[in-house]
Amino acid sequence: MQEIQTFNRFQRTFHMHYLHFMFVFFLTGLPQVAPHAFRWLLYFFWIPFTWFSPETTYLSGGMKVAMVFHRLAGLGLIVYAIPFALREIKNMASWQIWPEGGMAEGIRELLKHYIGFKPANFGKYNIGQKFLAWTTIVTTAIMIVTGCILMFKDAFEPNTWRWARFFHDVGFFIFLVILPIHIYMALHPLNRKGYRAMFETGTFPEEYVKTHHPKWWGKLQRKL
Amino acid sequence: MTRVSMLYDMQACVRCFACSVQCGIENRARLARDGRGNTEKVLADRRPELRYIFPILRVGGTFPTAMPVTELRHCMHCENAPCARRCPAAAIEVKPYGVVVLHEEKCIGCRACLEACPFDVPNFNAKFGKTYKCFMCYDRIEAGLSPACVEACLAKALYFGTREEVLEEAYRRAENYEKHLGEKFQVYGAEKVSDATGYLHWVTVGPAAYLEDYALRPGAERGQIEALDAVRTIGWVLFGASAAGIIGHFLYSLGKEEQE
Ligand code: SF4
Ligand code: SF4
Repeated sequence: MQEIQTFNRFQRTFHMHYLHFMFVFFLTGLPQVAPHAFRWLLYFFWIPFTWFSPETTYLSGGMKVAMVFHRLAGLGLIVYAIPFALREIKNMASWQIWPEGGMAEGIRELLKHYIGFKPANFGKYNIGQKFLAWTTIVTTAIMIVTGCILMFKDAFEPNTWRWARFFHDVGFFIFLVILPIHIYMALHPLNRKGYRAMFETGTFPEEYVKTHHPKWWGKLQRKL
Repeated sequence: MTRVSMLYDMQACVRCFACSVQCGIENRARLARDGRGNTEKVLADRRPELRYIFPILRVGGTFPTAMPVTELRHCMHCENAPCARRCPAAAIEVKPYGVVVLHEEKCIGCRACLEACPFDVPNFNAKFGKTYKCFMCYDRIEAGLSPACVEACLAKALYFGTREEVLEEAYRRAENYEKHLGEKFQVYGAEKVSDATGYLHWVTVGPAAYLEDYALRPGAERGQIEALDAVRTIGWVLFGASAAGIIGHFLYSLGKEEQE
């Protein structure tokens, strides 16, 4: 059967590593955003560290290690995101996350797929995915900017830190709300082919595109 | 244990700042007590952050009616201590008697408390990588003494006692001043001053008209601090809603197959 390329290699590895970064951000960030509920996480960072610095406690040593990891992950993400963003911007013309067909139709099709369990008239992405994509882009930008302010505190005023902390939290909660939904939908049997495309092959079977992403199929036909 | 409080009476204060000097002495004595150097050593190190109560000079009003205003900066020992709620290292402890204590040895110098405090109290020392603030001499309180600044105050402008005693004294003084000076006086901090802080364990008596210049805002709200509390509450609620949606859809999906 014909396969149609859905994600390129860079997109797939970037997605994969963004997932790894997120894992680090959440584990090391939760004890900062909700110290009273998530302090216990600090034990895991602290235990290997005690060997170097036995006078610390899980709170002081663990938190410091967590902060260092949080920042390293931040720097890693920034370094990795720059070439990715440049390449994506270069290919902007072929982005499939622009609105198509309007809100009401988008939601109707979404319900057809997830409530009716029937193939819907989607483009490459449905309206939920487009929303997710834009939210992720904007929120990542917010997190990077505010994160840099918080990381290089000394260059700014406490009032700036306060705003930065506020928006860093807003960004965190946006991710906290949308990521579980994203992960759930990715794992849902309805979207098995999407999962396969992202994590295994990078492609959709042609038949699947015809039936499940007819709008995108149409575009691909026109382009040929 | 019953709650304690401090009272600062702006009207009685003669601006000698013996409290500030005494605070610096007491904290150096603590260093010596804790084996952090002998008397010479602890005095030779200039450590301004060890004075937890100090004057801040500014000018209120505009020419020709401008006048100097001296704010006495110190920790308010907030009921809901936003600094303690935000400290990721649990270095800030709220004692059952209401005093908010920053334990230096637990502090990791992240400065989250500087952000959290609407009164700009915590003081960061970059050399030690630690933050310092007033802990109302909790060691002295626990030993049955008054805080050092209170002992130093020659005008009885600082007054320490149980919360009931302090509030009673504060209202008594306010009433007395109003009667003699024909001006409205306020007891700042007796009631909640903002959602983030609640009431204060350090109340201030002063002329109502003057309090604002004195940086004791009628409400201690600070947009970003209140907003952060709000976003944290709303955020967890939304997370709950999204989790509920996921579980709901999962149950709905059970046994269903995609129809072609
Ligand atoms: S005044 Fe500032 S430092 Fe003092 S308890 Fe309140 S928030 Fe904490
Ligand atoms: S600077 Fe110290 S006391 Fe303040 S929040 Fe950070 S660890 Fe806690």
